[in-house]
Amino acid sequence: MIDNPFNFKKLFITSTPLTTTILFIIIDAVPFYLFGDFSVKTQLSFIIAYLWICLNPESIRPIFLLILGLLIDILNNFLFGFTTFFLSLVLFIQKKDNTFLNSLDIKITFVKFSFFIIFVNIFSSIFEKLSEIDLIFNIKDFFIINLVSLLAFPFLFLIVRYYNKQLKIYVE
Amino acid sequence: MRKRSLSRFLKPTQLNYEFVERFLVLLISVVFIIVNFSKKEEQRYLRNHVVDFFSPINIIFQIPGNQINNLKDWTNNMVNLKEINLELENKLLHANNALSEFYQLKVENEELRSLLNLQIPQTINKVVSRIILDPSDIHSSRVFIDVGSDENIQINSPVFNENGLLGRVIDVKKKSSEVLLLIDSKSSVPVMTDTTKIKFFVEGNMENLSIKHLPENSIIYENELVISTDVSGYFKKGIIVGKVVKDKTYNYAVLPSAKKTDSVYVMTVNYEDQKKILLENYND
Repeated sequence: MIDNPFNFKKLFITSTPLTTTILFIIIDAVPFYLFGDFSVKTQLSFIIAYLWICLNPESIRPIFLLILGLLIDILNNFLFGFTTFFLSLVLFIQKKDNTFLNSLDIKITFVKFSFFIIFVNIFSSIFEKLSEIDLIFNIKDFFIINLVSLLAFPFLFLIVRYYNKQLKIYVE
Repeated sequence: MRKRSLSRFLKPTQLNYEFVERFLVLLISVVFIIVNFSKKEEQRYLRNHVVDFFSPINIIFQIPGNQINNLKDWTNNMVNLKEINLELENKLLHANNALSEFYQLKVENEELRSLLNLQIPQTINKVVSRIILDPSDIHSSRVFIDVGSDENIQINSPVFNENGLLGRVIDVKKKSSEVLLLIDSKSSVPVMTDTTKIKFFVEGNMENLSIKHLPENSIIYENELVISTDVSGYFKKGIIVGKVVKDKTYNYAVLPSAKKTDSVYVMTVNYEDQKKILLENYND
């Protein structure tokens, strides 16, 4: 009896870090306009990539991180290389100490993420302003983007944690 | 000791390969960020090409969102059926009055044209398209639509919806075009007030439109309608832009009538077909 070498579930689980990130990149970029006049930029793809690196730094190869980061930058109007730069920094930090940004207590992970995302967005605005002096920023949107990111974090954390557990089972 | 650690660093183990890869990726990202400052246009060119390439995929991903929107509209219609019916009846009454007025004007216009021996001007060929990508953020307001050079869309074509002007096309690719929305800080559009006919420019400030180059001693009124003019050559005259309001600092500003959130379906103008009609008229 020959075992079937192609296992769809295994392929699905092992590719979840890439597929979930790509899925959320598209969700971020595609216009839905479900809430009437209210429309806000989401950073779900950035958060999901951050979570994968935090929970499992081995899950995404750096070269894929570069490709995904550039895709996020292209489709979300960020400066090229910006997302990859921050995700690479997170990867370096987590490779050195896996518990630096990730903790057993989700509250601590959340607080660390809050500081990180606000820092990234402020840094992004500074970079944009440096590259184009005439830019006008919508301060209200800045707060809403950060708020939406913080609200989305627990849900995305649960998704990544679930698939990460599945991934570890397959790897082991 | 130092030599040993260096040789360990360079030893082609899996760990070192991974480290080198990680380091290179970080280096490439830093190079990209630095290059951004001098190659802004190239960055935009590359971005628009990628968006054009992925445009068919984006349309597929829009399907669930569109279905939810349709369901939301259907539920809203069902719940507010009476109010909507009353509102539509009123609108129909107004539209009928306006239509009869327009009919009289049309007859009058045709008579005058025949007296002056003028040809009928070309009709505008509107192209319906969809917003496929919305990369707007806190400092820019742009969208991508799913029509491009294949449908003869050209740079500076106005993009509008049923409520009024949304923006203009600033880059055209084969199957997609980039649209600069009115509220973007780089947007500047020549307009005039509908009643007092005062001409000025409106510039985006990410919330509404600032009034620029307003002639001295000219008076504009709150709630006055602002429409586009054909001064710059690329906008059709008479598209509703917004209405005059007072902003937080009690200065006059223009509140845009059309928002990107109104609908993912927008319209633009196909100039190539207009040219064809004009040539046909000329040949006739």
